[in-house]
Amino acid sequence: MSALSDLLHRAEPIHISGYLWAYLDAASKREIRRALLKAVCIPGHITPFASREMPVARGWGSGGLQVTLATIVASDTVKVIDQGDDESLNARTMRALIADSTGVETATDARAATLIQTRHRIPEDDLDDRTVLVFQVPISDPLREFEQRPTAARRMHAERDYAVIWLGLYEDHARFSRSRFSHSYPCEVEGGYIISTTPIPRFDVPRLHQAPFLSLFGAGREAAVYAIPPYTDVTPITFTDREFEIESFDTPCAKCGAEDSYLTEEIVNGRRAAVCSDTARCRRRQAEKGPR
Amino acid sequence: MTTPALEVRELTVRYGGTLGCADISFDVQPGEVLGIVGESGSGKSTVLGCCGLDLQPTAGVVRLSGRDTAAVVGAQRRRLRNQDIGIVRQAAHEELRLGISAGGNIAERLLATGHRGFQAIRARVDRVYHEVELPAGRMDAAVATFSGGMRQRVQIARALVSEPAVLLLDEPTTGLDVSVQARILDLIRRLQRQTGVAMVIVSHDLAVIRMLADRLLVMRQGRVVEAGVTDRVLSDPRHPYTQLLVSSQLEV
Amino acid sequence: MLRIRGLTKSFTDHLRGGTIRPVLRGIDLDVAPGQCVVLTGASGSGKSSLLRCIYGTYAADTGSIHLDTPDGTVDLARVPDRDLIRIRRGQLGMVTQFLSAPPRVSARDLVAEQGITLEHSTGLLTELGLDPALHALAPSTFSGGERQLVNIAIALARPRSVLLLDEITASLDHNRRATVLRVLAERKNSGTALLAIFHELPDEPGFIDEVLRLDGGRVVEAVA
Repeated sequence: MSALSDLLHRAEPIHISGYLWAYLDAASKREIRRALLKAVCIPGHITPFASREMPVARGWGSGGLQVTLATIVASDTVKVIDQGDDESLNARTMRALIADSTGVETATDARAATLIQTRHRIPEDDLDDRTVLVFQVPISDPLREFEQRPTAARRMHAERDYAVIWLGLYEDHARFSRSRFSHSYPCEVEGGYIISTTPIPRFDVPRLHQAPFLSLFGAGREAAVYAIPPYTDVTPITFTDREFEIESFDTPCAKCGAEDSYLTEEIVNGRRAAVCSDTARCRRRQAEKGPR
Repeated sequence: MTTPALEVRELTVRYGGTLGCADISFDVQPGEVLGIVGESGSGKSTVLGCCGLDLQPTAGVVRLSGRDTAAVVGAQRRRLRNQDIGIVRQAAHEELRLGISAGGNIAERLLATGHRGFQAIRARVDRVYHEVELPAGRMDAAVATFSGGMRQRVQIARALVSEPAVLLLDEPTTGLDVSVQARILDLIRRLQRQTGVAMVIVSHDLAVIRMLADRLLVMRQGRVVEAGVTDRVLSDPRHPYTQLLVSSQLEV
Repeated sequence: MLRIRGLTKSFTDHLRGGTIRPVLRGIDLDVAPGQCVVLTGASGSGKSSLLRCIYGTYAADTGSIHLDTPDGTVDLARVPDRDLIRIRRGQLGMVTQFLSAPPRVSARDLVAEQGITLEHSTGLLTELGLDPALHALAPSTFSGGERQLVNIAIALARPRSVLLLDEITASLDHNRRATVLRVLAERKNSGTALLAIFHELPDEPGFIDEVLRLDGGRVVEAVA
């Protein structure tokens, strides 16, 4: 569990050329790390923290960025993706900020990265226990849809009062014969709290169960973090007589031919085609296959 | 004598310096119907709120099937409420989620008490939905599209789906058309007899009370001023306030 | 056996400055099983009040109303509420001129609610002369006489040891009246005690055992 011990032993920031290492000041880092340690100790518990102003707009990954910058160490290799893509504008600017303010290595290959900041996806590659996954979270609380009062929602979490979430699931099955969650599927963590797996697709949800990597979720606008420690039970909630279903695709990736990856729609050669959303892995597979 | 479904002993509730109710004692056996009448502010809703575990007594005891509810807190208290108590309120929106389907509103109490089999939940909801004579084919429609009378039926179905020991009715027909009111009362009366649930009904309508209640409490300014068999209290009222109440009614 | 001793009842009208209005001033009365005792007297003499005190609709001031039940002899003037409700469901029945029935329950269901089968209920209503076409309808749509038959059927659904009858034949025509009296006579012969007020005294031979005349809340005359 090196990722977890890293988190515990990460060093105080180093000052480089008159500017703070990793952008955040020491007090901010301490605040965020304290919140993260608490979140790791209470898997799935939404932990508030003093969210800072960041040089990205709230809702554009300010929470993920704070978590990344508070936990990063000089030996890390960083990967940043948005919709599975390393090259989207948002991913590129945040990666630049992280690299410029720390000097750490960056990578697009998930297998080489030790710190992956992500929105929407878990990289398709197998990740090991050296990896920390940082999720940018838009809406942290799965109860938000049903209960807007924070105090009431806290009480409901404390008492594991999740009937409303089940009610949402009941309504879906009664009206549509299936769950309508396309992403942020509610999952029970270690038999206790229910979290929102936000905003990854159902396809990625099973990969959180007993995952070797540490998952940290940061919501900047809501000033909250939560975490799934390595090797933790993560169970998508579903009725005992209803299967949890992930998205399935009837075609392989139009670019790399993968049949086991999550596909999105893209224009390839002037036609709509289904291609891997994990662009780094897709490109690597295309290269491995060699030119056609 | 069997254990009462609901037992209230020397119940007192204070809201800061204001008295909600004082020194209220009664019990209700399975199959019995207790009525509570009194004007607005007489404390009848406070008493009902304590029975429904919505309010904490300042002093006194509320027991459900022999169990002291003061010791039951947090998740257990909520579970007890969703399992052993059914509530029907005058304002349906206080008890129902209008944006959710009728079936969902009924299912919620089962979901809250750990039922996790969709088919089994659906079957129970379907049974009680039809039991309260709601129109077939509307079970998955949002309650917001239901009329006032239908909403009360959804409330009744929701209350009874968990097969509670105690059913609490707070002005269940107030504000409904007379014909709708008659049908709802008829339904409540029939289901009460069928299920043998212990019932407490609060109403300011003495005709409703006369039709449903075996025994009656008359409350005023937070206290019980008269109690007895319903027709005795209404035909031979002895307390000045009860006499005023009975004589104020247009027709009983 | 119903045995009443020294029964008094008065009303205190708090809305009129606490005026006390006595209605019963010391009633002694016995009704034996299988006996029919009829109360007569002017309006306001206390006949109906006496029946209501026995049934518990009025709370007696002083005196005793002893009724033999399977659980022993009970003083209805002192009985706890729950016991009174139980006795009303069992031994003690009362029929008045008025039917207070829920508006939408059918006649046969109302009678069956006393704890008998629908078949038994239908049979009883037929025996009392209610048109079978009406059995499945709610009594709120009936004529006064028809309602009265339902009312009587409710009281007769279960075997009672004492029946209190307050002008139950007033709204019945001659034929229906005769039918009802015949059914009542059968109950009387099988041991039910009847204490009744009649608008017109029935002249069926052997039906009435004793006539008591009330005046000013007292029994003033007994006619055998």
